[in-house]
Amino acid sequence: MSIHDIDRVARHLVDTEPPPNLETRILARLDAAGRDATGQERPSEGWTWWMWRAALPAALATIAIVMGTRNPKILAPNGVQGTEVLSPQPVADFSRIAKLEPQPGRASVGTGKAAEGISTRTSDTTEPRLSSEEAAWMDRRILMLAAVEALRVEHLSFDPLNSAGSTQPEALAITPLIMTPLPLEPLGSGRHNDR
Amino acid sequence: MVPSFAASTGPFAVTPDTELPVSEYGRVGDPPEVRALVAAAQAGDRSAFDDLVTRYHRAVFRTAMAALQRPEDADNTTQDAFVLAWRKISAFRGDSSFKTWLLTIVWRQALDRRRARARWWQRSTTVSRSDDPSDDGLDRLVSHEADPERHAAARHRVRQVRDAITRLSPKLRDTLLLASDGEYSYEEIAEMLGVPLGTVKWRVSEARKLVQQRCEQSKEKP
Repeated sequence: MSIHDIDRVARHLVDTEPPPNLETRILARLDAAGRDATGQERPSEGWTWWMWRAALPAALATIAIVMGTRNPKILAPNGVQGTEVLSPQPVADFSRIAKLEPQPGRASVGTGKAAEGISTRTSDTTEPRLSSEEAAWMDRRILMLAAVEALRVEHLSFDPLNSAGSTQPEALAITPLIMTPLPLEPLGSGRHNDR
Repeated sequence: MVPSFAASTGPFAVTPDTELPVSEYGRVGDPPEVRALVAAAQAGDRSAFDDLVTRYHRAVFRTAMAALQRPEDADNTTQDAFVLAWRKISAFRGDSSFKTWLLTIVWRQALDRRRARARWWQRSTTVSRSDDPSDDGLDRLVSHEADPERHAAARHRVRQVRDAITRLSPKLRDTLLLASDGEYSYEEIAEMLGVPLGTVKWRVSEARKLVQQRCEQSKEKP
């Protein structure tokens, strides 16, 4: 079998002429491929359309967030001014705290404008309605807070160990050990080592 | 010797300033009229691309046949390849000839189809390969012998060669079929397959050698 014969048979395996209407069908496929006369892809209703549909709101939201971060008033609704929230309902009664006279060495509640803001705002609000138990608890709490001397250090006093009231155990008494010499027999008397 | 382009005239005249595309293996530029059609198609001219379809659809179909060996699959692959080429024609940079670029597209499409085909090997060896002489097509390869016995023997040898080619590994078989077709140069085959030129030559030689050996072995068997 010569190489020529092998090539001839190999050529026969692929020696098939295309169908006569293949060119027509190719052109029809090209027409149906969704291309316009300029060769540009026609906007399809496939994934690209959905991508734009999702990307546009996302881009607008991102812009809004960025602008809102730079200027918080843009995003603030009615009743909210910047980062300061004016709540119509006070959380707790700070009026008595505000009335406390600052004492040297005592920690103050709030400093500067913050403390002023608290007292100013609470003065404009109505008194909260507390039950009798709550009011009693609040009174106790305020009194206990007022009694705290924050900067005062109590001097601890303790009794000596050997005093009567000491909780230490009694001193240990060690009995001296008495050594009594054993009586020994003199060597050579009695037993003999005759081995 | 550098050819002179000064005598070239006409709308697609090639001048010394016009650089032909240079591939890895040398100049494989397209003819000037093809380059003009490609340029027009890249600009969006569908009629220019239709002319390219007319010019190359046969080569594309035969390339698909070399990989698939089934006319119906080659038909579909040819259509898919041209549609893909039309969509991607703006990406054609002229590093190779347009024909090679187009054949590379159809070759990859054909390989994809071949991989996706379940039990391809069994089907490819059975399609149109029946023992019925009427649909085999092997008679075209067998010289007409007056003696019916000699004619049958010649036909048997051709069948042995065909079976030996079919049993080659895909890489050797593909390369041998492409090289034997005569439609492509070795350089074009190398670019289509994405392998060096020397690999193509070796595969063709190895495939021929294996086919010869197998035919000799089958001849020795009783």
